[in-house]
Amino acid sequence: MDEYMIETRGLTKKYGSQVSVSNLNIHVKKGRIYGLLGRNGAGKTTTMRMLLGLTAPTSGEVKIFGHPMQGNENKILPRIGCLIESPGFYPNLTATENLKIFAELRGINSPKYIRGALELVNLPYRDKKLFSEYSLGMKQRLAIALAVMHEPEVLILDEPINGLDPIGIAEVRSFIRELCDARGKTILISSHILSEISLLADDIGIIDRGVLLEEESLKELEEKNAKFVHFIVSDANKAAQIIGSLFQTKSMRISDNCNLYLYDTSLPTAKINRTLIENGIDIKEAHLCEDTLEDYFMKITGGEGIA
Amino acid sequence: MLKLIKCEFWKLKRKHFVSFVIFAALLFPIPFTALVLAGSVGNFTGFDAVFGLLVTLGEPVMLPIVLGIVAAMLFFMERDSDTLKNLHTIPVSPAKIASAKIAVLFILGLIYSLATLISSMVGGLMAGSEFVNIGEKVWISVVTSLLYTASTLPVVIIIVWLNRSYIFSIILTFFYTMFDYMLAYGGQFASKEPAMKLISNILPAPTIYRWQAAQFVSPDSPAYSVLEPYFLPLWIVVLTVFIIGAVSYLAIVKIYGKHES
Repeated sequence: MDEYMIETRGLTKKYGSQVSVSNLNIHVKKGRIYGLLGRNGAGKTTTMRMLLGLTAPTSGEVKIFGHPMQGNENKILPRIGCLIESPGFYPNLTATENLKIFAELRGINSPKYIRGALELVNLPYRDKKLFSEYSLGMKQRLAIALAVMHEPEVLILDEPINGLDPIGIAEVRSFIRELCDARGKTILISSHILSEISLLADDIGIIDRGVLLEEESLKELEEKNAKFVHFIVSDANKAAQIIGSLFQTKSMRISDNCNLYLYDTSLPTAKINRTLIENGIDIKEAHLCEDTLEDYFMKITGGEGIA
Repeated sequence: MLKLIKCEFWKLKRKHFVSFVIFAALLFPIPFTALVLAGSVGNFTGFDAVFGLLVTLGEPVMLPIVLGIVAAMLFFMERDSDTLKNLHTIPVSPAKIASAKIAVLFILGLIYSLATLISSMVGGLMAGSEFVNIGEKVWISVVTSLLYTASTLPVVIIIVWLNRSYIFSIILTFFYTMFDYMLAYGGQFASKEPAMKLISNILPAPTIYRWQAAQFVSPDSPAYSVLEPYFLPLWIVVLTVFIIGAVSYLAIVKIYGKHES
């Protein structure tokens, strides 16, 4: 049985009559990256704030390291690193000075932790530049440095690639992966950028309007994605009749007179092509296709796609 | 708690207002030294006169205003830089954060008061006097700073509670200080109204002045006979201001704890 580092049971947050998070049950396994995927306003940040005790849940329970968060904050929180919403630092101080304050409060006396964290995110140690002069990307890097500085076992990162340029995104992705693979950290990461989650996460939770719609490993989700052969033909209805009668299948969909989707990919495509041509149907195109994660996201959220 | 206080001071780095305040404390005695040199402060002369004027007339105005502004800086800092969430997830409780900020106010009050003492020594030297009763003056400086810092806490409650802008906090502090000051130096002696008497006994500055007057009004002066019935022993003043400070402290901690991180 898997050991859950983070687990919620029936986690709910209501603001007045508005339900922000509803009956959420997430399970983050040890040493894995869990991607919480959802549109803006889906309830990702509220969920993370409740996990960290920053927002009190209306009902439900948060368990971290197998212990309820409520009442154990002093034991649990020092073992967690987090980045919630925008990076929060003192604008009149440098990056090193900012980290020094939080290191002092965490009881970290050695400057090597500050230096190490800054090096990890490619920010200079003892630089004179003030936080207020930082670009959004540098601020985000500093927030990640703060999250990892005390070498926590669990990282909770809310949209960590916000504001980063493409190279920065690749770097952050790479070191988050390394933190998990090489150092055995358990990471919960939220994003509205589907491609990021699919590139990084081992397990995925899809949240929409505060409800967790799906929670599975990336591998399982990929297996669930529908595969099909897409034919563009001169007469889709006639083609469907021929395929149905000769190959004994009903697993098809016609979108208009030209487009036919055959979902039984075990059938011999070359033979189908030949049969259709022999029956006077022109085949303009035939492709083996697979739904993307975005298609799957659209399907289960019943709405528009995600970035 | 010591770590928290140290961190609060680190957070003030490059906040030039704080160093400006200490500098102002050193400059404030200049007009009083000029008054003493002109020989217009009753029976006191030299160092005694400059120090007396600074402690009874300078600090009661300057210290609460300065501390009110610094309090706004300290208590708005986490809100403005969005750092409360970082502190809560360490975890550091809001009560401890608020306590550290209040401790910083007391320490800055003490530094301001001692800077005032040093500058009054310079003023006294210019007025040609020798330094006498230094120990007593250090004691009075320390007690005065602690009392006036505690007396500022009621206005800090409103600053933290309303959680508004710096300008609003400065205006609020200024009006509170001036009202307190006017009551201390005029209202409590001039009015016989029961409501005024009650307010004078509740607000800290009039109470503190009733102890200060006993220290600085000479028995030979005509004002002595007027003020003498109002004199209060230190323990009553300390008890009154302590109650005001303690209630204010609890209120600040409670209100600050409700701020969303």
